[in-house]
Amino acid sequence: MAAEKSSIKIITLIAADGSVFEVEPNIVKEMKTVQSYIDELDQNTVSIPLPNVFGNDLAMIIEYCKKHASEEETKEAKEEFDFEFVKRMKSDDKLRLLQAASYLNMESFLQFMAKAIAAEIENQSVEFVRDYFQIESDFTPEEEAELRKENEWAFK
Amino acid sequence: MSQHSNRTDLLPDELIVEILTLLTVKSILRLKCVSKSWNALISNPKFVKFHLQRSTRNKQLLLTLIASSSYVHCGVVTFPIRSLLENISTTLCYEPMNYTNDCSRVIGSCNGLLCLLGFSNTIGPSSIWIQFWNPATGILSEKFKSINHPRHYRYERLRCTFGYDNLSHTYKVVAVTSMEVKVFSLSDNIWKHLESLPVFPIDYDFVLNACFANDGVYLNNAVNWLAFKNNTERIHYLNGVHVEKLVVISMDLGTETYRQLLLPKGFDKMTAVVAPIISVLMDCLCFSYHLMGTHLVIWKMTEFGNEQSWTQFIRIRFQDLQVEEEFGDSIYHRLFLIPLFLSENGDTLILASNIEEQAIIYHLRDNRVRRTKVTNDVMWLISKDYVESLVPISGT
Repeated sequence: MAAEKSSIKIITLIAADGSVFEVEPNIVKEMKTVQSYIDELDQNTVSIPLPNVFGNDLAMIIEYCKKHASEEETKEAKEEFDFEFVKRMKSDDKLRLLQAASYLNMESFLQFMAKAIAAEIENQSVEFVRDYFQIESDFTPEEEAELRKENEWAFK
Repeated sequence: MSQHSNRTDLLPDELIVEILTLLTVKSILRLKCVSKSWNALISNPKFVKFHLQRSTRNKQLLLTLIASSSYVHCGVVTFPIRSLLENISTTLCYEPMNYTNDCSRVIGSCNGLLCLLGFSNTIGPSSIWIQFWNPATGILSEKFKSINHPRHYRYERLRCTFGYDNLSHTYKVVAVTSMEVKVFSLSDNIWKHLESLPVFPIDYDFVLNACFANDGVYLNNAVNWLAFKNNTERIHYLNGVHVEKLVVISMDLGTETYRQLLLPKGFDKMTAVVAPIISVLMDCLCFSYHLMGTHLVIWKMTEFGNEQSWTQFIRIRFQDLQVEEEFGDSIYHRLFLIPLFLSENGDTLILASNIEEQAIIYHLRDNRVRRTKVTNDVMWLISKDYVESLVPISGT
């Protein structure tokens, strides 16, 4: 069984918009959703549809996985990559990638995205965070005033 | 690109929790005001628990600051250990504590809650009380009256230890005097009498700044003190003490019963040790002492309660720590070292000394030693481990 699995050479991932990505098996190990799919199959080539992930996002995730799966890269180089990776993203991108990470069941990538988002909203105002997550307040002005008063300490 | 980014309708609670549990308590409390569903999510006890689990990874020290001229505690401040190790000259900002007029001090820190002990300085019977405080959420409990204490006992002589009992899921305070043992439980706010300790914890009242040194350490659902097997023995700093005369007395917070744990056998047996102390490092009970005026030795009980699991894991020359043990003839000015923190990789040890104003940072791998550079007056000896949490005071 193990020998057959290792004979898989190329995995094809098909994103929601139909774009196709060919990747090596070691790249998808972190994607537990994909890996368990592969484990159940007994084929040399696999093609996996991912209807919840768009092409742009999948491209970024694969780029991240490639960098982190590489044994040649130093820890510092990976950290540098992570820094740049987050820097070029908008808040929209981070939230979408977080959801993609959740769908693909990628533990460490999910943590990475959650941290990046947390860093952006730490110490920010309630209004900023509502805007960030596009949340409409459902409090009445009185309710909100009372809640702010209750947590007055946190607004200092 | 943006046509499919209809975001928050899609962002499930579990992902919001993943993000929010990474924030500081202050930010989290503020974000209760975002929406009703966020408020409900953050108020959920499961969220509080998950946040605590994560926060535990970010270890902090709770430092007590004193007014430079007197020994009045003027405030406490929490400080990430990370920043301490960076070793930059730091002046700690703190909010003066509103309780200082009552002569309080922090006796314990557990899951983000602090237990304060205070006594009124008025004429008449000395009134002692305890109070609970979560500095991250800013919530302070009422004062709970403690033991009626004879006037001639200073409040320092009352040993109090704070911990969480996993059996009854409640926070407890154990108070020990030479006359009685009492336990306070936060579930019913009642003091309960217990059987006296079979052996009495040793005292360091006569060593400068070391009077809190054996107040009891909380670990594994138990409060532990260092004691003499034979109650009539007294610690004698100059001559030291033989390890086989000492024992750890351990009180289980769940069953509220005592047991005695033997200290490591066979090593340094012939030599008397000085300033023996127990502490908790990396979630292990540790036993440390000065050996022959030349070394600091630390043993750890790898598996709590298993007397066979004592392992000597640190032995440092005083020379490498750049400390001197001899300080004239006065016993009072003798050196006393308390381990405060050991890094997860076991490489960095932080020690408090009773005769230095800064803490000692020692790197085991290359024998490098430094001093902290905190410009405030810090009572390093009574520093506590601290983690930030949302735990409420009634907290289970």
